[in-house]
Amino acid sequence: MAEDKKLLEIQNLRKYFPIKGVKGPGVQAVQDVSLFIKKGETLGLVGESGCGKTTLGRTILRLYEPTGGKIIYDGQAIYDNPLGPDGQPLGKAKSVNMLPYRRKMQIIFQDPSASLDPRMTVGEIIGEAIDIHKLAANKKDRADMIKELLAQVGLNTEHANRYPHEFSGGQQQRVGIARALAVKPEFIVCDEPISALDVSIQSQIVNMLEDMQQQMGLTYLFIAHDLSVVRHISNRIGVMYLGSLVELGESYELNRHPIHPYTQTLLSAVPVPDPKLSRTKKRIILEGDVPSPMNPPSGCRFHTRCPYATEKCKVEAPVFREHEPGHWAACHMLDK
Amino acid sequence: MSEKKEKLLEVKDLKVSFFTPAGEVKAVGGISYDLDYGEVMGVVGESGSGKSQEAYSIIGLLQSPGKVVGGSITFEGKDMLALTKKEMQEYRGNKIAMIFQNPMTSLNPVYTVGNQLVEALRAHDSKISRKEAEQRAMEMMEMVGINNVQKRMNQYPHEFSGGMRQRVMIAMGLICHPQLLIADEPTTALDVTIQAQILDLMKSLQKKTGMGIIFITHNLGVVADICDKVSVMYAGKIVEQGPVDDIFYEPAHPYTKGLLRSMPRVDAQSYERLIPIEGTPVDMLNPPEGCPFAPRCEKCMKICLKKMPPYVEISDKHRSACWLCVEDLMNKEEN
Repeated sequence: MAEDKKLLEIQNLRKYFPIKGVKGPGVQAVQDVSLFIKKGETLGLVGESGCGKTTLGRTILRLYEPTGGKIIYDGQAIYDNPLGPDGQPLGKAKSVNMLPYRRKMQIIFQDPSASLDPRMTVGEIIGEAIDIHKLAANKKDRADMIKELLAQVGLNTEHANRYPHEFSGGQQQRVGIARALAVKPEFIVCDEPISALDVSIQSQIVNMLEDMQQQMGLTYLFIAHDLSVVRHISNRIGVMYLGSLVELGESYELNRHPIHPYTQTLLSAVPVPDPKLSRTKKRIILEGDVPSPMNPPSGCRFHTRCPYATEKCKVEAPVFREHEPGHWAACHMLDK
Repeated sequence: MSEKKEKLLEVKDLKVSFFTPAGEVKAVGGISYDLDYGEVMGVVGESGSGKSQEAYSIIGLLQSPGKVVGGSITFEGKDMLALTKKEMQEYRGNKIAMIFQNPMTSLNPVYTVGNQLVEALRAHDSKISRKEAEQRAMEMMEMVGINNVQKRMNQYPHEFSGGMRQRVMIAMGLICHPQLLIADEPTTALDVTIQAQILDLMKSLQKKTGMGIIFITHNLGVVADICDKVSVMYAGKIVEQGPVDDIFYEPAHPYTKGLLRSMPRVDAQSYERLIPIEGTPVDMLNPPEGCPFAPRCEKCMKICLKKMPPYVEISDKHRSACWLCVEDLMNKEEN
């Protein structure tokens, strides 16, 4: 169960990707996102492709070096570069050596076939993590650990000598999970871990992730675009649009009473596997496409597609505020 | 003599095999269905269940080493398997159109979108003038909800977003007014809000034109939204088939039941643990004897491992291939 202690906190985290030969900030993938994750909880992150959810996950782990903001893990700042009053990072970032933190913070990738080295056996893939952090006392110890990890994710001991291509997609994802677990982490970023899998396999992996969380007290940041899965697995959900966090709330509360117009649209757009409900369900259909993060709209980034947009929305960016206990959103409509 | 009304499409006992160096893969193992004008049939199944291959064989797009090895496909009374390549071209794109999963790889990157639309039209109608064809292309683009048509016609596919590209694909598919549209996972690569736009568009176009649609997908939510009837495929076989309400509210086959149960529902009010289908999908090179789902089925009986069950009519138009249904039927008859 989730405790009250914050395991991870980010403040105004920002990640820009500069573009060669183009002046300006480049692609504004993550724009000043602040949130925290409590120990033992699952925070879901949803949004459309290109909204920056994967970038946020990777920036938290410093797989991408942040452009500005602050990351605090377990009370310790692992990256600190506060934004000045003009909205620009103040200067040089203070950061720490990540190696000890890599043991505590792990990631499971979206495409299992692309994230496993095709020339290493499964045993080598899992063993590499054990070697880097010197977790095994001797060879036998190491072999036992690999065996145990494989069993944990529902694979056989013989599988250690096989190569990734010999496995189905679901099994490959199990290997990816075993690799993340090899260093006994506390916090795992699950970056769309099931979207590449078949429907009948998805629920197997979801259940396994839930079981492991219970047994090992893991904390997850669960990134996905499938809202029904995210709601199922998460305690709280954050909704991103074009690099910004627009709403954050307790999972079922957010589903029942979404307060941001974008969340409302997103929820209404999910097709329900229930024909009768689907015939009566009212859909909010958004006009147009997501604007480019290279050149995001002024003011509220959603104003170009928002059905309620006013003049104010075009000029002034709304503040991310707590509107009800634990339910945050950034929208001018709610500030009245 | 009264004329018997022909179905739009009738597929009987269709078998498709791939002859690979490792052996014959029976991708489609004898499936039958029919589709009427104005009907939307969903084909659901996992990757490798043969749902795409079955559709490709209708318009002769099976890639080597794939071959139709048995059965028949009848489109408006015409035997599609007997057509020559030339004759098939008359149908393909003209009377039967197809839209694909990934609109980026199905559009030619070096031609403008307008050019490709005009080409599609002129390939099937040699009499139409270029000017007329352009006019039609622009109308079509407006119909699928693309704004600023004049300018858009002269743009290249990379200048369109994913959703817009899929609209172009739909425009291209419908430009010759086909009677049958085969949509192979048309919304899988799109975001949910864009998916909602495209599904809405397809529904309204279908109402306008009265065409039949075969909608291939693995998303049961999409099926519930757009389809009138559903075929559930597993390992090359249709294991259950019926009107959409029957499939969702009274599923008969353990695989269909398992699929529905394993999905988290967006309208659930509290946490419920998911019930997955255990095991892994079938290795199509070495399919099990008997019912292909038997190794993963929790209600598997001895006979399931030996013999493929026959289809049992559960109600009008709803049928399922499962020995449990056979048993139910026999019990009913005894009473």
